[in-house]
Amino acid sequence: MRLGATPNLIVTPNGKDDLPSQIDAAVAAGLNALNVRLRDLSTDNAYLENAAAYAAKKDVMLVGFGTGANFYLTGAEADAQHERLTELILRARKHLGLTIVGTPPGPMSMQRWAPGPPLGERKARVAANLRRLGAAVQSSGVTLALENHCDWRGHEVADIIVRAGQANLGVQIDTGNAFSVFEEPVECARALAPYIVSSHFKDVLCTPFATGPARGSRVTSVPLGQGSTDNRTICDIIVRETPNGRSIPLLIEPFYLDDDQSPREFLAASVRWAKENLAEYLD
Amino acid sequence: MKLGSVITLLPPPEGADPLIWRVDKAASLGLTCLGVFVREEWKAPDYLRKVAEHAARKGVELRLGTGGNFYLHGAQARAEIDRVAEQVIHARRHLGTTFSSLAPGPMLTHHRFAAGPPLSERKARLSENLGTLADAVRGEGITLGLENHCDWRGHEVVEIVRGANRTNLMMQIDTGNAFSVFEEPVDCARAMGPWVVSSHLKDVHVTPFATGDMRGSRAVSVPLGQGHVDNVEICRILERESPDPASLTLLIEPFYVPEGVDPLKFLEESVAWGKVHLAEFLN
Repeated sequence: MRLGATPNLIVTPNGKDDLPSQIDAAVAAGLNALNVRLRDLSTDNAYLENAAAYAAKKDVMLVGFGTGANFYLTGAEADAQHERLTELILRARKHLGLTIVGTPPGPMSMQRWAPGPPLGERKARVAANLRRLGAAVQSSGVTLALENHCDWRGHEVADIIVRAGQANLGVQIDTGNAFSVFEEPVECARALAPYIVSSHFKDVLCTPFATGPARGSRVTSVPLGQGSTDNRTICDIIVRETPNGRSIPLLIEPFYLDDDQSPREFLAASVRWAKENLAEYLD
Repeated sequence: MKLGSVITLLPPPEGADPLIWRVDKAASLGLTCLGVFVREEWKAPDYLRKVAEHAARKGVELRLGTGGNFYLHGAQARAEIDRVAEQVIHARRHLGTTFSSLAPGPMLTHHRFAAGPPLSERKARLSENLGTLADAVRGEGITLGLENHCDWRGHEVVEIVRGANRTNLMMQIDTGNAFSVFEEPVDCARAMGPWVVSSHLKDVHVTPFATGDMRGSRAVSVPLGQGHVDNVEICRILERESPDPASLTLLIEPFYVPEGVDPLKFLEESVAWGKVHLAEFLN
């Protein structure tokens, strides 16, 4: 398995956020995979092609995410989004060489407890829009990866995948996000394992009953190994139960970064933990 | 099923009798059971007998709530078991309570995510100590109910009670506490259902990803019907699965009383919701 990170954890020495600088910083941090945010994707195709060649030279796998998609839309809004995403994903495939694009179902405000249509209807809507997008990009060799994005539980994401029935639609499991929907992450991994093609690798700290100003139950952001997510067991499930499980990239992502939190230190602590505790799974 | 409350939601006015007033207030709200604990200053046998007779006249069943630290070993464990047994038996003899709920230990520090021995060892320790306690009170005709107390998930409480294997050690389900250990409350009810003889009826509001000063996931206290615990479905499960649904007590309890909130108003809103939405289950 390749170990990587999302770009908000990648700090370039010169402060530049161009892809080659991010690739260099990722390699320096001991990573061989990198998430590329597609919402900010350059329209300079030559630049993208150079970045793809540089990533290949440095043996860094690039995985797309962050499309700003909303698969709850209907009618003309859904049509307009479909056109935008199809163009974006095909361009990222053609010029940056991406074969996996992670996506949430929509804004996190559309989570399973938010008021709205019955959950079955919402899942059907997401499945239909994803099926349509998957079909539009299938011939290019792109696989879409639906993420459990602080909105649905693992078995619900699996239900969406099954409803869509689209061969190039899989799952980007977010290992920590399960706790945000009050689900055990290991159970989430078991439900999603057959469909996983990518991952956001995350740890969070669970406090069943916090006192003080934030009373009640809390989930907060921590580097890998400092929280309550059993990422080692989850890796084991992926290796055993996911098709080509050892090819799944583990892209480290924070639940969030506190204002005073150093992304560099957060990533360094997470990479150190992963290399010590997941060595048997890493390339 | 009987609808009731814990005494913390019934704060007596200054100068009022602490238990008699609560019995009267509960009865005036149409409640038929009351979860009580016995403070040191309320322990006089004559006083407790007066409360018991008053509650009987008002048609309010009294149910004891207590707890201890059942993670202890050796002489410390024995002393703790003796202490709790004395409390429970004293209440049985003078207040007439044949049931007591039990918290397994200090919930802020002894929960499934806290550092310590393997979970299986902790559960085995609880089984042993709770079994000894159950034996100590059985001759008095007392049934104990182990509660999921922001520490263990439903299936884990089942393991503990099964491990003890005593006929007078059953369960008190807390319908909202499941969220505090990142478990779906309906799944918790399915797991515990066959052993449930009492309940704390609770609602909590969950937020998968809160922004602002209290970032991350949160579960906070709300009156019944204003949160995300499906208490109707849970009652349906208990009606079907619990040993004696007609005698089952639904004791309304807050996750906590939020600052600035009037406990009595919290209770009145909860009772109003319960009488409408749980009518089919209430005696």
